[in-house]
Amino acid sequence: MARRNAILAQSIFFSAAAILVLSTGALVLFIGSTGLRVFSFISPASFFFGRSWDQNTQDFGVLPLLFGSLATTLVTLVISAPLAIAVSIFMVEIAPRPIRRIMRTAVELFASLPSVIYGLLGLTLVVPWLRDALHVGLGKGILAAAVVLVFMTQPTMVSIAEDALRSLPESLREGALAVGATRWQMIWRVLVPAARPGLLTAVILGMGRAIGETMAVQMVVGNITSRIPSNLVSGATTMPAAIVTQLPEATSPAHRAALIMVAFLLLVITLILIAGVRLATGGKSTKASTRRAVPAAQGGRPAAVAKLQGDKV
Amino acid sequence: MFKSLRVGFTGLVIMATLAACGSTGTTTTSTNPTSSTSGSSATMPAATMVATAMPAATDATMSATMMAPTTAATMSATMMATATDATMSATAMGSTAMTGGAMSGKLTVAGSSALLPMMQEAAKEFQAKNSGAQITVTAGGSGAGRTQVCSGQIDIGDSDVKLSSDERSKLNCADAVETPVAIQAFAPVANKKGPGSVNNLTKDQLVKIFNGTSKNWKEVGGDDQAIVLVNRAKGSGTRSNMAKFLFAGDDKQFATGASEEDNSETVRQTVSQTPGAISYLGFAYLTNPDIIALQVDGVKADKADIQSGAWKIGGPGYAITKGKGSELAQAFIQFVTSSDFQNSDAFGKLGFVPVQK
Amino acid sequence: MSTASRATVASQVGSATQVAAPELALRLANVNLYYGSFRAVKDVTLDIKARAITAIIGPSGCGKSTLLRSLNRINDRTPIFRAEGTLKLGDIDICAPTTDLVEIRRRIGMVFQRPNPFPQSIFDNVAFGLKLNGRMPRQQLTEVVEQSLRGAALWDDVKDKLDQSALGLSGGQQQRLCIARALATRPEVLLMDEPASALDPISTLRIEELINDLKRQYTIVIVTHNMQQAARASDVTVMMTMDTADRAGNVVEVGDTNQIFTNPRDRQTEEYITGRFG
Ligand SMILES: Nc1ncnc2c1ncn2[C@@H]1O[C@H](COP(=O)(O)OP(=O)(O)OP(=O)(O)O)[C@@H](O)[C@H]1O
Ligand SMILES: [Mg+2]
Repeated sequence: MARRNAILAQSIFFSAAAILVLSTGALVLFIGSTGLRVFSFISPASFFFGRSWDQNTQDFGVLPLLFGSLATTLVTLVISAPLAIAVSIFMVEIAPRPIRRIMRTAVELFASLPSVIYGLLGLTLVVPWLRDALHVGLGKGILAAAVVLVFMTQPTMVSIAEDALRSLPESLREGALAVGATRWQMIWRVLVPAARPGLLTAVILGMGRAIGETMAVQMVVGNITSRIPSNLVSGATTMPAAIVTQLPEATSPAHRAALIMVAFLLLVITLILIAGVRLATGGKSTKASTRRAVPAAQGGRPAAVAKLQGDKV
Repeated sequence: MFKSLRVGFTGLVIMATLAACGSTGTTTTSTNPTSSTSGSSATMPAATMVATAMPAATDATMSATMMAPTTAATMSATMMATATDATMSATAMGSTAMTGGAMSGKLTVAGSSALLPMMQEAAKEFQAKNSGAQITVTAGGSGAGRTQVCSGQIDIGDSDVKLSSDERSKLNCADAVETPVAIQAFAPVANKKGPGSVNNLTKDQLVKIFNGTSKNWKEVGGDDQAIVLVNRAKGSGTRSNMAKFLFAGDDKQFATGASEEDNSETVRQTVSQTPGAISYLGFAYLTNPDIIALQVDGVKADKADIQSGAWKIGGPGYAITKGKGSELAQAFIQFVTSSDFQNSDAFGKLGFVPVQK
Repeated sequence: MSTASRATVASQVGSATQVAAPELALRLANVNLYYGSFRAVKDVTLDIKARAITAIIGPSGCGKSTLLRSLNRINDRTPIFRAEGTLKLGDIDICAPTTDLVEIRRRIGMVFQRPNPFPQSIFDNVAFGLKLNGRMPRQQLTEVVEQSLRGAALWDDVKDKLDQSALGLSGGQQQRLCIARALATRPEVLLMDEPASALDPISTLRIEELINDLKRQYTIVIVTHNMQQAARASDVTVMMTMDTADRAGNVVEVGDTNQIFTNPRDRQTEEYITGRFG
């Protein structure tokens, strides 16, 4: 009976996993094959290296979109990753409990806001602020999008980073303090390195959110696709923003295919970014600590040994 | 924990991508300009909202309205005048008369986001009278409306513009029937800072502003304030109507401008908060107090001037069927174009002008 | 009862100091330790000899850890914890608000019940305390790390893999690494809270041997439940019990380990020791 249950459970999990893998594969295949049709209308060179995307001239050079997405994501991460790590450190290590609770609520609230609200706040607060502070005509562009995305990525990043830090055992903290570390030394030299895999996950997930965000970005980025922006404060676009702006009115087959190809590219780039970040920072030590941090932190292999020895624990 | 997060992330990416390529309806509607400003009963949050049959009480009220005396005559007059296909309207009228408000079946309508609130209102009222009918109205863009009706995915496509001859042949849609359902008018709008005392521009001045030749308001008699040009995205009906007026339809003459917005509400927001900004908006937005609606060649955009044709920017929006369309589709279009609906408060509030010869 | 036992304690401490080394490392006077309103340890007056091993024994919950953890103020991490009375390291008042915690902890090292190496390399673990006060020349750093590892009897095990993760070591090796980490900053006192209780018997023996070696240079205070360990390894034994009325822990007997284990003066000590042996 128990065995049958185990088999049943196993097959359920297995099919769930299979469905996930298969549907992912099917999705990639579908988007890829639909998108690749663009090359029956324009050459790959003019798609990948074209510096203008303009349906009036039927030029579909992806560089303005690509550049916009990468620049927006980069600027976002440069601000939001350190911010999120600082906030989570504050929440876990410094803030007294009531303040921590208030902050947690705030973070959850941030997470539940629909992106159109972020877009609206960006449009009515961030854009005018940038316009006045930087003396530009409008204020829409990559910087405005990045500022909005900093706020949008905080909930994901903070809650995962907070979890990562909180799950570190108290014994690590005591160990550091006991050799004379100050609180800051304990945080920067022990906790942050020990939580690195989790913090990295936080950053990657934030990056995923930033690169894929559509609605809020579209409202503040300016949606200028016909050129690569020369600075961070003039109209630009990102891949998802361009897709959502143009797909509804894309009647020419070349335009539709080009947009779907952009979606495919977005998928591929996201995968590459994830793999790249993992490779770059996920060397031997990260792997070792990921796998072992938990049991070792709880004392290596204590429970069984302690029992053998008959000691009180 | 780490593993599962990774799986979760993959899911996230998939969803993001799906959303990116499939959510056009949702996106367009959630920021739907008219529904958020008009405060009308047609405010529908969800894009794929299915207007289902109305409860009995409403049904009764609606039937009462329908029995108002003047209806029949006015209605047929309007129909005859506006419908592209005389035969079709005759058939439609016949069938409606026969079934006496008891049409049933399903109908899908999609396309222009500008026409969406009007079509939703019409669907709501039509279903109130025909409890068996289920009409699904979604947005998706005029282009999508034209494409999908031609490929048979939907029954009626709404579009701000007619099918081009190119589209008729490429989309295999030679037999499409385009019925004007409402007149949409557009006007140039500006931020309060910039025009100064100027509230009227000539067409020539507008052309120069929108093609990027004029860069400062003082060139057209306004203050010394740089012009910030805000466009709608290429392919939008609003923009094509503006291009038709300014550039004889040649969209390429538009200067790139500072931004290209996806919808009218964002345009309104952007113009209202950016000194020197200029753009164009639909009739429904012109009463908005935080922007200035500019006169063109001395004519103000009001209902009378639009109907008389003195106001030159704009034109009818169309309901397109492949062939004559189903009986239900014909009946629905007939209802939309009926003077009863066209002259109703709801219709006017949404910022449309009745279709009239 | 409690007054009586305090008198005993005082007299014993007095005699112990006369007999053995004159130098005292830690002096506790009228120490009371609280968690909120609960008094976990009451009225402890106790001198701890330098360069000797002092074992603290007693039933579970009698406040051994609380007492030990108040000596380097690591218990300050518990927000509701509070200490009263005098705790002195030489001339330094451990509990004074002006006292530099970092200084105290560098002079009083601690080894915990469960090995808690940082998820870093073996070298970095040992060097951790050394790097806290600014940079140290690499050469010197390497030397101190080696000395500390030798001091903790771990050098031979790890000398070829100093750059490998400390988490790859066995439990016993990890615990010796933690001892090396504590030794690296050259403390005067080493506090150990049941340092072998999570280890297998062989590792336990090695740790005991190590502790015995260390006492030549360090003052060691060790909490243990293992009576054999206390008897084998320590010079002085402190017996604590819990007051039946208010559940507060207190010291009932302090003395030479031999004397305590062969001829305990306090009835509770005798019961506890024999109970454990029986
Ligand atoms: N953080 C804390 N908050 C409140 N009470 C505590 C805390 N830590 C310990 N106590 C209480 O203080 C008393 C002494 O605890 P302590 O851990 O010092 O005992 P112990 O002698 O070390 O016991 P064991 O032999 O089981 O380790 C106990 O009653 C315990 O419940
Ligand atoms: Mg204890």
